[in-house]
Amino acid sequence: MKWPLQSKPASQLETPFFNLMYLHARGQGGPDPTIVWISELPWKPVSDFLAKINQSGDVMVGTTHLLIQAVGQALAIHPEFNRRVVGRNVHSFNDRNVCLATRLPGNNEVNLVLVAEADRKQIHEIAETVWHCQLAYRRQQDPVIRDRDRLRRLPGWFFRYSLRAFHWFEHLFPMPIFGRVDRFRNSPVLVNDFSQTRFPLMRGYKPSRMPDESKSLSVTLGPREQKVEWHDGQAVPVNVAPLCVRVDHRICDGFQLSQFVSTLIRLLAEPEKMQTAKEMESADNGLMNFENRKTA
Amino acid sequence: MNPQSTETLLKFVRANTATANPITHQTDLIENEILDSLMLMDLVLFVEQTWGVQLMGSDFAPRNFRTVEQLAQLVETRRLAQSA
Repeated sequence: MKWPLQSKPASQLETPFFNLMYLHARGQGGPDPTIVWISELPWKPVSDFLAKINQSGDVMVGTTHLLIQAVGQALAIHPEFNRRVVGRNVHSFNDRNVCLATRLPGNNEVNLVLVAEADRKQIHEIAETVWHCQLAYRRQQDPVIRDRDRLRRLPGWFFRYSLRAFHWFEHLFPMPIFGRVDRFRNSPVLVNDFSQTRFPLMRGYKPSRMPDESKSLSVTLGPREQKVEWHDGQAVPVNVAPLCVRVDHRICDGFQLSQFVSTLIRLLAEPEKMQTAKEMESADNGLMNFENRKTA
Repeated sequence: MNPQSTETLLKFVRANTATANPITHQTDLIENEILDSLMLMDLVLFVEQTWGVQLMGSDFAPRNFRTVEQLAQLVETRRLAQSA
């Protein structure tokens, strides 16, 4: 059993008033505390980096892995996003974990992959973790699949009321992680990678909130597309990919979200820098500054 | 290398790719951004179902998936290893 959240919630005195209004508003049918920011990611640095890193190495690295690494480091730089709402309080997560939603061919199930301490992992380690989990899902070897099947076999009424009871406790109290199925609650963020060209054009994407409310942040990379930009009076074709970030207004505001999105784009536009210890260190400094602000 | 495996793999890649450029058994699937994570899992599934081989985590290296020819080579290696 592991406790994913820090026991002490964020102080009400430190919480912006606007966030408090959402935090204390009535639940069902109340205000929708969702902010979505849709931006664009220049694709060339990403594709150049992937082409270079895949020249050698023992594991294939893709956009998904780079996105996970960037989100992990952005969480370290902006720790105010590494939090979730429990009841009327905001709690910080102990670790900076990133959750990825994947869907495998020939399977209608969405499988989640949890990358622990994503900000500290090298890109190859992240790629290995993700491939390993995807293979385990594909081969029906991941114990989560058996757990899910067991839960599915429960009588409908029992499943419904157990789930509701769990969500009621989970909604009101910081709960530990009990097992394999609920280990994905140990992350504030869900990452979706739709950057493959096989997907239709994306102008916006707002994923739903999960019933357990652990995911206060969601980052989605859309399919890349070509557009024309003007450089020195000349039209130049460039590839870009939409980047959609959804966040819970109870943990941050639009300005903070803009900073988070800027950081994410900066990290992805300079993927080489993410691989150096210096960038990880600066992420750590961001966390220390946040902790100092909290204690000051 | 079995030319039949190469042809079968090439057909699969062509059928599942939306690129306008022609794909040959020598086309660099990584550099041309043909091979993404979904495509890779599709390929693994296809290989495992068609030839009954099981790919390992260590097989997920760029050198094995760069071209259709290299993938066919990997399939052959795994087939030989499993039949031995």
